[in-house]
Order: sequence, then C-alpha cells, then structure tokens
Amino acid sequence: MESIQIAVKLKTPDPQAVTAINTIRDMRLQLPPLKIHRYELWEFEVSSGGRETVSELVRHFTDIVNPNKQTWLFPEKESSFSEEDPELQWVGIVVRDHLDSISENWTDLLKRRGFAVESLRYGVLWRLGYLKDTDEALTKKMALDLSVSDTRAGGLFSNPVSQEVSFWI
Amino acid sequence: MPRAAVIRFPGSNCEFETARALKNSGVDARIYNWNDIGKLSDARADAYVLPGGFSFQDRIRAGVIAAREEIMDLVFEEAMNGKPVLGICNGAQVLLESGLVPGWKPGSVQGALAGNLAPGRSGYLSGWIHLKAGPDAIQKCPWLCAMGTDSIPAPIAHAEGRFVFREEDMGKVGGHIGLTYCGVDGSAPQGWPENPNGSVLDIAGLMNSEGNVLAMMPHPERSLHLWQVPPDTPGHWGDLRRNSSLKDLEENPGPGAVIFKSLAKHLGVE
Repeated sequence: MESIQIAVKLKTPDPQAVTAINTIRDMRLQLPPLKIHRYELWEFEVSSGGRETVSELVRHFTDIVNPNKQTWLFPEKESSFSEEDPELQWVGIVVRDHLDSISENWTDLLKRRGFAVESLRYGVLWRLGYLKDTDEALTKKMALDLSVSDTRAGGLFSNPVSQEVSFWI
Repeated sequence: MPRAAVIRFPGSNCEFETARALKNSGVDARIYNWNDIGKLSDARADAYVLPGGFSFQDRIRAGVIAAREEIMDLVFEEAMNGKPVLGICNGAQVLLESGLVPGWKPGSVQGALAGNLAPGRSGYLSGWIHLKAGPDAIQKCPWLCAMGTDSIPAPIAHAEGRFVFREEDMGKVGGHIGLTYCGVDGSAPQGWPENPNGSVLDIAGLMNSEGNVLAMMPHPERSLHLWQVPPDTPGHWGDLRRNSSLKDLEENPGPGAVIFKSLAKHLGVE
C-alpha cells in the first residue's frame, strides 16, 4: 500500500485565500502571514500502480481536477510548491472533517470503477507565508493558533468541533 | 408595532421573504446591511434575524466570515440581553460560528454545522422534510411558542447542516433542542431521508440556554403560504394543500408562518 497526495489549486487567484488574508489583516496580529495559498489535498491509499494510478484517475474525473481552471501536483517536499515566494517561510496546515462524506463517497466510487485505490481522504491545505527571519517554532505555533476557531474572534481555518488540523509535512 | 431587524451580509439571499414573513405576522421588519452598524444600533430592534443564503460566498467555512463582522458584536450584545435572535440556514451557521448557540460559554465555538452525511451522497441537498418542536422549546423559545406538538413540513437547502458537538458535551445538548427532524406522524426519523443530513439527535434547530436564540436549518420563510407546500406532501398539510381552492391557497398561511407568528405572540402582537 502506498500513500500518495495530490494538491489541486486554482489557476486564478483563489477567492478563499484572498478572503482569508483580508480577514487576517483585520485581526491585527503582531506577525500575520503575508501571503496565503489554498490547495485541495487528496490523499490516496493506492494498492498498485503508484503515481500512475493517481494520474489516471485525475485525468478521468474532472470533479477532482478540472483542467480548465485548476492545476495539480504531487507535493512531496517544500520545494514541490515552486510557485510560492521563496523569500517567505511557508507553513502548511491541513484541515479535514472528522466525518467526511466526500472521502467516503469517492472511495466507494473509485473502488466500483476498478481503480486500485483502497481509500482516500479529502482535505484543504492552507499554505501560510511568514517573514523568513521569524523563528520556525514560533511560526508554526502562530499558524496553528490561526487555524483553530475556538472563539469567533480567534483562529480561522477550522471548526474544532467538526474538523481536525495538522501540519503538512 | 414591534420591530425586527433582518441583517443582510454579502451573499444573503433570503432577506426579502424573511422580512415579508415578519410583516405578515404583524412585526415591522427592516433590512440592514452588514455595514449599517450605526443605523442598526440606533434602531434598537426588538428582534434580530440572520437570513439564509451564502454569506461571503461560504468562503473558508459557511458562516465563519460573517460571524467576525462588527455587526455581530451588536447582535451578540442584544442576544445576551435576552432579545430574540433567529438564524435561518446560513444564519444558523453564523450563530454557531459566533458561539451564540449552544452558548454554554457565549462567544466560544462549541458546536458545528458540518457537511451533510448521507449514504451515497455528499454536498448540497434540497427538499422537504418534517420537523417538530423539542421537548422544552415551546415554553422556552420565542420563535416556537405558537407551535403545536404536531409535525410540520418545511423546505431545506444546504450542504453543511449536520449539527455536531464534542463527545464530552453531548450530555448537555438535550436541553437545547429547538426543533428535530421527524416522520410525518411526528415519530423519530428512521435515518435518511427523514433526517436528511445525519444531524446528531436529529436536531434541526438549536437554542441557547435561555432559549431566546434559535439556529435552524429549515427555511420557514419559504413555506409561508399554503400554495408553497408541494402537492405531494404527505400528512395533514399535504391534505390541506390538495383540498384547498385557489382562493384558499392564496389566502391561507403555510406551515412556516408559525415561526414568525410565535415571535409576534411573544412580542404581544394581537
């Protein structure tokens, strides 16, 4: 079994990322992220064929990647996100629903269609770009604080009651 | 005449019918934009309604951006002072993201309206369901005080309508149930489609502890008139719809009117 992720991004500026950066600006944080990118993150547990299996299903299902408006990549390490500003220090935060019908239904569909996929998990990857000289541990803590909405004025990217957050590595 | 404020965020799309529903019930209603903070503050409304729609295009998460708007500070304050506040669909999502419901610790996010969970389906769903008032809701909630014990049909239209809570909070939820999904005869739902989104405890509407704030996913403003009830609706309301003359259809209220009549009753409208 092999775990393979793909990150899907709009070709145009993502309105959700624009809203996020504007909302964070209004929060008047001491060290806010200066740029934000948003990706849909699909993680496939593939039983055979590896990347070729995933590439094939991406070509097949335009609901996962619509080539007219989206691009995608296999994110394996920080340098995979080559379009991002290298002058910033980037932190990846993954938000997933605890119970997720999108993942369950796609898993069923892909199995029925005969793809070598045992399961998949859908999530959103928020990439937050901070000033490069900020302490790395502090940057990660700030990113995590910003990601969990404990209060209505607090974090932004996840509701802790129904969603979980983790660092993208 | 008592006054209600309907708050319109960018992307709200049910404000006009919501205001009309309030007016039909004898409550003066005015629509305020999300940035009309001064006007809304001066108006000192007797009740507040956050209508349905897609505030801020549901960006990041449904309701989360609207919940942070300055106008919600005022709604929050008025809710804490006991004024009736109703959130319908997207308005309900805003109330949960604001920490007004369930409101064990007001301002803290202690519940969520998560993505629908239904067998073989995901995303947006619309249709008609049946619902009834929760055990304490008729006594406690100004938006439900005119409701009887029978079920009523109501339309739903949402992608994130599944009420969920932390495991450790589940014991406290019962006292906050304003509305539940049910069968036509008021019986407990047998899964989907009677409970259309997998909501825990079949919750369709959730109150705060005091009962003055109600977050409900169904759209009562879309079932204000009898003619809006689909002819194939089972049960009492369906019979009424099928057996009514054209004149009756035009003149008689639909099942959703009771929500707004409840407010009118609470505010002393004869």
